[in-house]
Amino acid sequence: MEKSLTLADLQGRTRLLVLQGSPFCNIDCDYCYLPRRDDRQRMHLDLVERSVSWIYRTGLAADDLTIAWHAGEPLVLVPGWYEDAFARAHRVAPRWARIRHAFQTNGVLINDAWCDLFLRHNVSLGVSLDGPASLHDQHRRTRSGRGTHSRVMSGISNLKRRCVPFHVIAVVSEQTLTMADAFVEFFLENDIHEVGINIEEIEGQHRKSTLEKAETQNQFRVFFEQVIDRAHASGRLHIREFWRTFDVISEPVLSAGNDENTPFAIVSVSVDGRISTFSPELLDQTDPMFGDFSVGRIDCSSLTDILANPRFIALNAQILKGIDACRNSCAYFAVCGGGAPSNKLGELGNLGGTETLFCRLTTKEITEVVLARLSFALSRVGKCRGASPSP
Amino acid sequence: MVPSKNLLVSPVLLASILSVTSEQVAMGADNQLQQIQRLDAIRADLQSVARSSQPGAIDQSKLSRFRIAQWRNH
Repeated sequence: MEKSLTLADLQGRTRLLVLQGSPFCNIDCDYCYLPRRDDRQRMHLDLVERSVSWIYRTGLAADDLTIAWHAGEPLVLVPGWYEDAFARAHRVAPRWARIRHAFQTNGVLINDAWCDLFLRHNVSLGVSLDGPASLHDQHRRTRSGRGTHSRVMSGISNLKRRCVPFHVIAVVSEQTLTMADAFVEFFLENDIHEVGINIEEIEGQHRKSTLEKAETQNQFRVFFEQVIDRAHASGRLHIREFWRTFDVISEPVLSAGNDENTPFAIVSVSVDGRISTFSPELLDQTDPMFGDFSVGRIDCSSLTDILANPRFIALNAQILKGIDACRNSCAYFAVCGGGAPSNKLGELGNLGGTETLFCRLTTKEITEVVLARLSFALSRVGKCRGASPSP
Repeated sequence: MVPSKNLLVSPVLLASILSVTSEQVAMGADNQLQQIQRLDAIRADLQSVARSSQPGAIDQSKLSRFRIAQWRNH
Protein backbone atom coordinates (compact mmCIF):
# COMPACT_ATOMS: atom_id res chain seq x y z
CA MET A 1 0.00 0.00 0.00
CA GLU A 2 1.23 3.51 -0.73
CA LYS A 3 1.48 5.82 2.25
CA SER A 4 3.83 8.45 0.92
CA LEU A 5 4.16 8.85 -2.82
CA THR A 6 7.37 9.92 -4.47
CA LEU A 7 8.02 11.04 -8.03
CA ALA A 8 9.89 7.80 -8.65
CA ASP A 9 6.81 5.78 -7.67
CA LEU A 10 4.80 7.47 -10.35
CA GLN A 11 7.05 7.07 -13.37
CA GLY A 12 5.16 5.47 -16.22
CA ARG A 13 2.04 4.98 -14.11
CA THR A 14 -0.55 6.83 -16.22
CA ARG A 15 -2.17 4.64 -18.84
CA LEU A 16 -5.26 6.76 -19.37
CA LEU A 17 -5.42 10.51 -19.94
CA VAL A 18 -8.97 11.83 -20.04
CA LEU A 19 -9.33 15.15 -21.84
CA GLN A 20 -12.60 17.04 -21.62
CA GLY A 21 -12.81 18.48 -25.13
CA SER A 22 -16.16 19.95 -24.14
CA PRO A 23 -18.51 19.36 -21.19
CA PHE A 24 -21.49 19.82 -23.53
CA CYS A 25 -23.75 16.96 -24.57
CA ASN A 26 -26.25 17.13 -27.40
CA ILE A 27 -28.65 14.73 -25.68
CA ASP A 28 -29.98 14.43 -22.13
CA CYS A 29 -29.89 10.87 -20.75
CA ASP A 30 -31.77 10.65 -17.47
CA TYR A 31 -29.05 8.60 -15.75
CA CYS A 32 -26.10 10.77 -16.76
CA TYR A 33 -23.63 11.69 -14.00
CA LEU A 34 -22.18 14.74 -15.73
CA PRO A 35 -23.21 18.06 -14.17
CA ARG A 36 -22.29 20.51 -16.96
CA ARG A 37 -23.99 19.08 -20.01
CA ASP A 38 -25.30 22.51 -21.08
CA ASP A 39 -21.87 24.14 -21.02
CA ARG A 40 -20.66 24.68 -24.59
CA GLN A 41 -17.05 25.57 -23.79
CA ARG A 42 -14.42 23.81 -25.82
CA MET A 43 -10.85 23.07 -24.86
CA HIS A 44 -8.27 25.39 -26.43
CA LEU A 45 -5.92 23.50 -28.69
CA ASP A 46 -3.02 25.05 -26.78
CA LEU A 47 -4.37 23.37 -23.67
CA VAL A 48 -4.50 20.01 -25.47
CA GLU A 49 -0.85 20.47 -26.36
CA ARG A 50 0.11 21.54 -22.85
CA SER A 51 -1.79 18.63 -21.27
CA VAL A 52 -0.04 16.02 -23.39
CA SER A 53 3.29 17.76 -22.87
CA TRP A 54 2.65 17.78 -19.10
CA ILE A 55 1.88 14.07 -18.90
CA TYR A 56 5.18 13.24 -20.60
CA ARG A 57 7.28 15.95 -18.96
CA THR A 58 6.27 14.70 -15.51
CA GLY A 59 7.27 11.15 -16.43
CA LEU A 60 3.76 9.94 -15.63
CA ALA A 61 2.90 8.57 -19.07
CA ALA A 62 3.16 4.82 -19.61
CA ASP A 63 4.72 3.53 -22.81
CA ASP A 64 1.21 2.89 -24.09
CA LEU A 65 -1.05 5.82 -23.34
CA THR A 66 -4.74 6.04 -24.18
CA ILE A 67 -6.19 9.52 -24.54
CA ALA A 68 -9.93 9.33 -23.95
CA TRP A 69 -11.91 12.36 -25.09
CA HIS A 70 -14.63 12.29 -22.49
CA ALA A 71 -16.69 14.07 -19.81
CA GLY A 72 -19.08 15.43 -22.42
CA GLU A 73 -20.13 14.15 -25.85
CA PRO A 74 -16.89 14.13 -27.87
CA LEU A 75 -18.59 14.43 -31.25
CA VAL A 76 -20.09 17.87 -30.52
CA LEU A 77 -16.70 19.14 -31.67
CA VAL A 78 -15.95 18.80 -35.38
CA PRO A 79 -13.57 16.25 -36.94
CA GLY A 80 -11.20 19.05 -38.01
CA TRP A 81 -10.79 20.07 -34.38
CA TYR A 82 -9.58 16.58 -33.54
CA GLU A 83 -7.26 16.53 -36.53
CA ASP A 84 -5.57 19.58 -35.06
CA ALA A 85 -5.72 18.23 -31.52
CA PHE A 86 -4.22 14.85 -32.46
CA ALA A 87 -1.47 16.54 -34.48
CA ARG A 88 -0.56 18.79 -31.57
CA ALA A 89 -0.61 15.89 -29.13
CA HIS A 90 1.74 13.83 -31.25
CA ARG A 91 4.00 16.81 -31.89
CA VAL A 92 4.78 17.26 -28.20
CA ALA A 93 4.93 13.57 -27.30
CA PRO A 94 8.37 11.91 -27.30
CA ARG A 95 9.25 9.73 -30.25
CA TRP A 96 8.94 6.53 -28.22
CA ALA A 97 5.39 7.36 -27.17
CA ARG A 98 2.57 5.10 -28.28
CA ILE A 99 -0.69 7.01 -28.08
CA ARG A 100 -4.13 5.72 -28.92
CA HIS A 101 -7.14 8.01 -29.01
CA ALA A 102 -10.48 6.77 -27.66
CA PHE A 103 -14.03 8.10 -27.96
CA GLN A 104 -17.15 6.94 -26.19
CA THR A 105 -19.99 8.56 -28.11
CA ASN A 106 -23.77 8.61 -27.99
CA GLY A 107 -23.53 7.89 -31.71
CA VAL A 108 -26.18 10.25 -33.06
CA LEU A 109 -23.71 12.46 -34.98
CA ILE A 110 -21.63 9.76 -36.68
CA ASN A 111 -21.31 10.48 -40.40
CA ASP A 112 -18.70 9.88 -43.10
CA ALA A 113 -16.48 12.69 -41.91
CA TRP A 114 -16.29 11.08 -38.47
CA CYS A 115 -15.67 7.67 -40.03
CA ASP A 116 -12.75 9.18 -41.96
CA LEU A 117 -11.24 10.46 -38.71
CA PHE A 118 -11.78 7.16 -36.86
CA LEU A 119 -10.15 5.17 -39.64
CA ARG A 120 -7.29 7.58 -40.32
CA HIS A 121 -6.26 7.60 -36.66
CA ASN A 122 -7.27 4.08 -35.62
CA VAL A 123 -9.49 5.55 -32.93
CA SER A 124 -10.78 3.15 -30.27
CA LEU A 125 -14.49 3.75 -30.59
CA GLY A 126 -17.34 2.93 -28.26
CA VAL A 127 -20.99 3.68 -28.91
CA SER A 128 -23.48 4.01 -26.06
CA LEU A 129 -26.49 1.87 -26.93
CA ASP A 130 -28.74 0.24 -24.35
CA GLY A 131 -30.21 -2.49 -26.56
CA PRO A 132 -33.52 -2.38 -28.44
CA ALA A 133 -35.44 0.88 -28.73
CA SER A 134 -37.88 -0.13 -26.00
CA LEU A 135 -34.99 -0.10 -23.52
CA HIS A 136 -32.74 2.55 -25.01
CA ASP A 137 -35.39 5.23 -25.50
CA GLN A 138 -36.55 4.95 -21.90
CA HIS A 139 -33.43 6.80 -20.81
CA ARG A 140 -31.37 8.07 -23.75
CA ARG A 141 -33.41 11.02 -24.98
CA THR A 142 -32.99 14.47 -26.45
CA ARG A 143 -33.67 17.57 -24.39
CA SER A 144 -37.15 17.67 -25.92
CA GLY A 145 -37.76 14.12 -24.66
CA ARG A 146 -37.48 12.21 -27.93
CA GLY A 147 -35.75 8.83 -28.02
CA THR A 148 -32.40 8.67 -29.80
CA HIS A 149 -32.36 5.01 -30.79
CA SER A 150 -33.07 5.46 -34.49
CA ARG A 151 -30.38 8.12 -34.81
CA VAL A 152 -27.82 5.94 -33.02
CA MET A 153 -28.62 3.02 -35.32
CA SER A 154 -28.18 5.32 -38.28
CA GLY A 155 -24.74 6.25 -36.95
CA ILE A 156 -23.90 2.58 -36.47
CA SER A 157 -24.98 1.87 -40.05
CA ASN A 158 -22.41 4.43 -41.15
CA LEU A 159 -19.72 2.73 -39.07
CA LYS A 160 -20.55 -0.66 -40.58
CA ARG A 161 -20.69 0.67 -44.13
CA ARG A 162 -17.25 2.15 -43.66
CA CYS A 163 -15.91 -0.89 -41.76
CA VAL A 164 -15.03 1.16 -38.67
CA PRO A 165 -14.37 -1.16 -35.71
CA PHE A 166 -16.39 -0.29 -32.63
CA HIS A 167 -17.77 -1.72 -29.43
CA VAL A 168 -20.93 -0.89 -27.52
CA ILE A 169 -21.42 0.04 -23.89
CA ALA A 170 -24.95 -0.67 -22.69
CA VAL A 171 -26.35 0.68 -19.44
CA VAL A 172 -28.55 -1.83 -17.64
CA SER A 173 -31.53 -0.51 -15.70
CA GLU A 174 -34.34 -2.32 -13.87
CA GLN A 175 -36.36 -2.95 -17.01
CA THR A 176 -33.37 -4.51 -18.79
CA LEU A 177 -33.18 -7.25 -16.16
CA THR A 178 -36.47 -8.71 -17.38
CA MET A 179 -35.43 -8.65 -21.04
CA ALA A 180 -32.18 -10.59 -21.20
CA ASP A 181 -33.12 -12.48 -24.36
CA ALA A 182 -34.28 -9.38 -26.23
CA PHE A 183 -31.17 -7.54 -25.04
CA VAL A 184 -28.79 -10.16 -26.44
CA GLU A 185 -30.79 -10.89 -29.59
CA PHE A 186 -30.74 -7.20 -30.46
CA PHE A 187 -26.96 -7.11 -30.56
CA LEU A 188 -26.73 -10.40 -32.44
CA GLU A 189 -29.30 -9.33 -35.02
CA ASN A 190 -27.40 -6.11 -35.61
CA ASP A 191 -24.01 -7.80 -35.91
CA ILE A 192 -22.63 -6.05 -32.87
CA HIS A 193 -20.00 -8.32 -31.39
CA GLU A 194 -18.45 -6.52 -28.43
CA VAL A 195 -20.64 -5.26 -25.59
CA GLY A 196 -19.69 -3.78 -22.25
CA ILE A 197 -22.36 -3.88 -19.56
CA ASN A 198 -22.55 -0.92 -17.21
CA ILE A 199 -25.22 -0.53 -14.59
CA GLU A 200 -27.38 2.49 -13.87
CA GLU A 201 -25.17 3.96 -11.19
CA ILE A 202 -25.79 6.41 -8.38
CA GLU A 203 -23.15 8.93 -9.21
CA GLY A 204 -22.65 12.63 -9.74
CA GLN A 205 -25.90 14.26 -10.78
CA HIS A 206 -27.80 10.98 -10.81
CA ARG A 207 -28.88 10.46 -7.23
CA LYS A 208 -31.11 7.36 -7.47
CA SER A 209 -30.98 4.15 -9.47
CA THR A 210 -33.80 1.84 -10.54
CA LEU A 211 -31.51 -1.01 -9.45
CA GLU A 212 -31.52 -0.09 -5.75
CA LYS A 213 -34.30 -2.48 -4.68
CA ALA A 214 -33.31 -5.39 -2.45
CA GLU A 215 -34.40 -8.06 -4.94
CA THR A 216 -32.32 -6.53 -7.72
CA GLN A 217 -29.10 -8.28 -6.78
CA ASN A 218 -30.47 -11.73 -7.53
CA GLN A 219 -32.28 -10.48 -10.63
CA PHE A 220 -29.05 -9.01 -11.93
CA ARG A 221 -27.25 -12.31 -11.45
CA VAL A 222 -29.96 -14.23 -13.33
CA PHE A 223 -29.86 -11.59 -16.08
CA PHE A 224 -26.09 -11.83 -16.41
CA GLU A 225 -26.21 -15.64 -16.49
CA GLN A 226 -28.82 -15.52 -19.25
CA VAL A 227 -26.77 -13.01 -21.22
CA ILE A 228 -23.64 -15.17 -20.95
CA ASP A 229 -25.55 -18.35 -21.86
CA ARG A 230 -26.85 -16.78 -25.03
CA ALA A 231 -23.67 -14.88 -25.90
CA HIS A 232 -21.48 -17.97 -25.58
CA ALA A 233 -23.96 -20.20 -27.40
CA SER A 234 -23.90 -17.75 -30.29
CA GLY A 235 -20.12 -17.87 -30.55
CA ARG A 236 -20.06 -14.29 -31.74
CA LEU A 237 -20.78 -11.98 -28.83
CA HIS A 238 -18.03 -10.84 -26.47
CA ILE A 239 -19.30 -9.58 -23.12
CA ARG A 240 -16.57 -7.38 -21.68
CA GLU A 241 -17.41 -7.97 -18.02
CA PHE A 242 -17.18 -11.73 -18.30
CA TRP A 243 -13.73 -11.73 -19.89
CA ARG A 244 -12.28 -8.92 -17.81
CA THR A 245 -13.31 -10.79 -14.68
CA PHE A 246 -11.90 -13.98 -16.12
CA ASP A 247 -8.59 -12.18 -16.67
CA VAL A 248 -8.52 -10.91 -13.10
CA ILE A 249 -9.21 -14.37 -11.74
CA SER A 250 -6.82 -16.26 -13.93
CA GLU A 251 -3.88 -13.92 -14.22
CA PRO A 252 -3.65 -11.09 -11.69
CA VAL A 253 -0.78 -9.41 -13.54
CA LEU A 254 -3.25 -8.46 -16.25
CA SER A 255 -5.23 -6.33 -13.91
CA ALA A 256 -3.25 -5.90 -10.74
CA GLY A 257 -4.69 -3.12 -8.63
CA ASN A 258 -7.57 -0.85 -9.47
CA ASP A 259 -6.91 2.10 -11.74
CA GLU A 260 -9.74 4.17 -10.28
CA ASN A 261 -8.31 4.16 -6.77
CA THR A 262 -4.62 4.27 -7.75
CA PRO A 263 -3.26 7.82 -7.84
CA PHE A 264 -2.29 8.91 -11.36
CA ALA A 265 -3.13 5.61 -13.07
CA ILE A 266 -5.78 7.83 -14.65
CA VAL A 267 -5.33 11.59 -15.08
CA SER A 268 -8.21 13.82 -16.13
CA VAL A 269 -7.96 17.37 -17.45
CA SER A 270 -11.04 19.58 -17.52
CA VAL A 271 -11.96 21.91 -20.38
CA ASP A 272 -10.34 24.77 -18.47
CA GLY A 273 -7.15 22.97 -17.46
CA ARG A 274 -7.87 21.62 -13.99
CA ILE A 275 -6.16 18.32 -13.21
CA SER A 276 -7.78 15.48 -11.30
CA THR A 277 -6.97 11.84 -10.77
CA PHE A 278 -8.65 8.65 -9.50
CA SER A 279 -12.14 8.05 -10.99
CA PRO A 280 -12.61 10.33 -14.00
CA GLU A 281 -16.23 10.81 -12.90
CA LEU A 282 -14.93 12.94 -10.02
CA LEU A 283 -14.03 15.64 -12.51
CA ASP A 284 -16.67 18.37 -12.13
CA GLN A 285 -18.25 16.83 -9.03
CA THR A 286 -18.29 18.97 -5.90
CA ASP A 287 -17.83 18.06 -2.27
CA PRO A 288 -17.55 20.06 0.96
CA MET A 289 -14.14 18.57 1.76
CA PHE A 290 -12.64 18.13 -1.69
CA GLY A 291 -14.15 21.02 -3.65
CA ASP A 292 -14.17 20.20 -7.36
CA PHE A 293 -11.64 17.37 -6.89
CA SER A 294 -9.00 19.20 -8.88
CA VAL A 295 -5.49 18.81 -7.50
CA GLY A 296 -3.64 21.21 -9.77
CA ARG A 297 -3.67 23.08 -13.06
CA ILE A 298 -1.94 22.19 -16.29
CA ASP A 299 -0.57 25.71 -16.73
CA CYS A 300 1.06 26.07 -13.32
CA SER A 301 1.31 22.82 -11.34
CA SER A 302 4.24 20.47 -11.28
CA LEU A 303 3.81 16.91 -10.08
CA THR A 304 5.77 17.87 -6.98
CA ASP A 305 3.25 20.66 -6.34
CA ILE A 306 0.38 18.20 -6.62
CA LEU A 307 1.94 15.66 -4.27
CA ALA A 308 2.28 18.44 -1.69
CA ASN A 309 -1.21 19.82 -2.28
CA PRO A 310 -3.28 19.36 0.92
CA ARG A 311 -6.34 18.47 -1.14
CA PHE A 312 -4.50 15.68 -2.96
CA ILE A 313 -3.04 14.40 0.31
CA ALA A 314 -6.46 14.34 1.97
CA LEU A 315 -8.10 12.77 -1.07
CA ASN A 316 -5.47 10.05 -1.31
CA ALA A 317 -5.70 9.38 2.43
CA GLN A 318 -9.48 9.00 2.30
CA ILE A 319 -9.29 6.68 -0.67
CA LEU A 320 -6.61 4.59 1.04
CA LYS A 321 -8.85 4.41 4.10
CA GLY A 322 -11.62 3.05 1.89
CA ILE A 323 -9.29 0.53 0.28
CA ASP A 324 -8.14 -0.67 3.71
CA ALA A 325 -11.73 -1.01 4.87
CA CYS A 326 -12.54 -3.08 1.79
CA ARG A 327 -9.45 -5.23 2.28
CA ASN A 328 -10.43 -5.93 5.88
CA SER A 329 -14.08 -6.68 5.27
CA CYS A 330 -14.66 -8.12 1.82
CA ALA A 331 -13.84 -11.51 0.34
CA TYR A 332 -13.89 -10.00 -3.13
CA PHE A 333 -11.00 -7.63 -2.48
CA ALA A 334 -8.66 -9.94 -4.39
CA VAL A 335 -10.61 -9.37 -7.59
CA CYS A 336 -11.63 -5.75 -6.98
CA GLY A 337 -8.80 -3.92 -5.27
CA GLY A 338 -10.99 -1.69 -3.16
CA GLY A 339 -13.77 -0.24 -5.27
CA ALA A 340 -14.39 2.90 -7.27
CA PRO A 341 -14.09 6.23 -5.41
CA SER A 342 -16.76 7.89 -7.54
CA ASN A 343 -19.31 5.23 -6.61
CA LYS A 344 -18.39 5.36 -2.94
CA LEU A 345 -18.85 9.10 -2.99
CA GLY A 346 -22.12 8.90 -4.92
CA GLU A 347 -23.67 6.17 -2.79
CA LEU A 348 -22.08 6.52 0.64
CA GLY A 349 -21.29 10.23 0.62
CA ASN A 350 -17.63 9.58 1.41
CA LEU A 351 -14.57 7.91 -0.03
CA GLY A 352 -13.66 5.90 3.05
CA GLY A 353 -16.58 3.48 2.98
CA THR A 354 -16.88 0.04 1.52
CA GLU A 355 -19.77 -1.73 -0.16
CA THR A 356 -21.82 -0.08 -2.87
CA LEU A 357 -24.61 -1.12 -5.20
CA PHE A 358 -22.06 -0.79 -7.96
CA CYS A 359 -19.71 -3.33 -6.40
CA ARG A 360 -22.49 -5.70 -5.32
CA LEU A 361 -23.64 -6.04 -8.91
CA THR A 362 -20.59 -5.50 -11.08
CA THR A 363 -17.96 -7.13 -8.87
CA LYS A 364 -19.62 -9.63 -6.56
CA GLU A 365 -22.38 -11.03 -8.74
CA ILE A 366 -20.31 -11.12 -11.91
CA THR A 367 -17.39 -12.73 -10.10
CA GLU A 368 -19.68 -15.43 -8.75
CA VAL A 369 -21.01 -16.19 -12.23
CA VAL A 370 -17.54 -16.35 -13.76
CA LEU A 371 -16.06 -18.45 -10.95
CA ALA A 372 -18.92 -20.93 -11.07
CA ARG A 373 -18.49 -21.43 -14.81
CA LEU A 374 -14.75 -21.58 -14.56
CA SER A 375 -14.91 -24.20 -11.82
CA PHE A 376 -17.28 -26.28 -13.92
CA ALA A 377 -15.17 -25.89 -17.06
CA LEU A 378 -11.97 -26.80 -15.22
CA SER A 379 -13.47 -29.97 -13.85
CA ARG A 380 -14.40 -31.00 -17.38
CA VAL A 381 -10.97 -30.16 -18.74
CA GLY A 382 -9.47 -32.16 -15.92
CA LYS A 383 -11.53 -35.14 -17.01
CA CYS A 384 -10.48 -34.62 -20.63
CA ARG A 385 -6.83 -34.62 -19.59
CA GLY A 386 -7.34 -37.71 -17.53
CA ALA A 387 -6.71 -35.87 -14.30
CA SER A 388 -8.96 -35.61 -11.32
CA PRO A 389 -11.75 -33.04 -11.55
CA SER A 390 -11.13 -29.85 -9.64
CA PRO A 391 -12.40 -29.91 -6.06
CA MET B 1 -13.95 -13.72 -31.86
CA VAL B 2 -11.05 -13.41 -29.46
CA PRO B 3 -12.66 -13.50 -26.03
CA SER B 4 -9.52 -12.83 -24.06
CA LYS B 5 -5.93 -11.85 -24.68
CA ASN B 6 -5.03 -13.90 -21.67
CA LEU B 7 -2.33 -16.42 -22.49
CA LEU B 8 -3.75 -18.85 -19.96
CA VAL B 9 -6.76 -19.57 -22.13
CA SER B 10 -5.86 -22.77 -23.90
CA PRO B 11 -8.19 -23.76 -26.74
CA VAL B 12 -9.48 -26.71 -24.75
CA LEU B 13 -10.26 -24.62 -21.71
CA LEU B 14 -11.79 -21.88 -23.84
CA ALA B 15 -14.11 -24.36 -25.53
CA SER B 16 -15.07 -25.72 -22.16
CA ILE B 17 -15.81 -22.27 -20.72
CA LEU B 18 -17.92 -21.31 -23.71
CA SER B 19 -20.01 -24.44 -23.47
CA VAL B 20 -20.93 -24.17 -19.78
CA THR B 21 -24.52 -23.12 -19.19
CA SER B 22 -26.19 -21.66 -16.14
CA GLU B 23 -28.42 -24.74 -16.01
CA GLN B 24 -25.40 -27.02 -15.68
CA VAL B 25 -23.91 -24.80 -13.00
CA ALA B 26 -27.18 -24.76 -11.08
CA MET B 27 -27.25 -28.57 -11.06
CA GLY B 28 -23.70 -28.77 -9.72
CA ALA B 29 -23.19 -30.14 -6.25
CA ASP B 30 -21.55 -26.98 -4.94
CA ASN B 31 -23.78 -24.38 -6.54
CA GLN B 32 -24.91 -23.08 -3.16
CA LEU B 33 -21.36 -22.21 -2.14
CA GLN B 34 -20.05 -18.70 -2.38
CA GLN B 35 -17.56 -19.28 -5.17
CA ILE B 36 -15.21 -16.53 -4.02
CA GLN B 37 -14.19 -18.82 -1.15
CA ARG B 38 -12.66 -21.11 -3.79
CA LEU B 39 -10.76 -18.38 -5.63
CA ASP B 40 -7.30 -19.63 -4.69
CA ALA B 41 -8.12 -23.22 -5.66
CA ILE B 42 -9.56 -22.13 -9.00
CA ARG B 43 -6.52 -19.96 -9.69
CA ALA B 44 -4.25 -22.92 -8.92
CA ASP B 45 -6.23 -25.13 -11.29
CA LEU B 46 -5.97 -22.52 -14.02
CA GLN B 47 -2.23 -22.34 -13.61
CA SER B 48 -2.06 -26.11 -13.77
CA VAL B 49 -4.03 -26.22 -17.02
CA ALA B 50 -1.87 -23.44 -18.46
CA ARG B 51 1.34 -25.27 -17.58
CA SER B 52 0.12 -28.48 -19.17
CA SER B 53 -0.84 -26.73 -22.41
CA GLN B 54 2.17 -24.40 -22.48
CA PRO B 55 5.18 -26.20 -21.05
CA GLY B 56 7.62 -23.81 -19.43
CA ALA B 57 7.02 -20.72 -17.39
CA ILE B 58 4.44 -18.18 -18.43
CA ASP B 59 6.27 -15.05 -19.55
CA GLN B 60 4.93 -12.39 -17.22
CA SER B 61 6.40 -9.57 -19.31
CA LYS B 62 4.36 -10.75 -22.27
CA LEU B 63 1.25 -10.80 -20.13
CA SER B 64 1.89 -7.32 -18.82
CA ARG B 65 1.89 -5.92 -22.36
CA PHE B 66 -1.82 -6.57 -22.40
CA ARG B 67 -2.34 -4.46 -19.32
CA ILE B 68 -4.59 -1.58 -20.30
CA ALA B 69 -6.26 1.10 -18.26
CA GLN B 70 -9.43 -0.26 -16.71
CA TRP B 71 -12.28 2.20 -16.74
CA ARG B 72 -15.77 1.13 -17.58
CA ASN B 73 -16.74 4.27 -19.46
CA HIS B 74 -14.47 3.95 -22.43
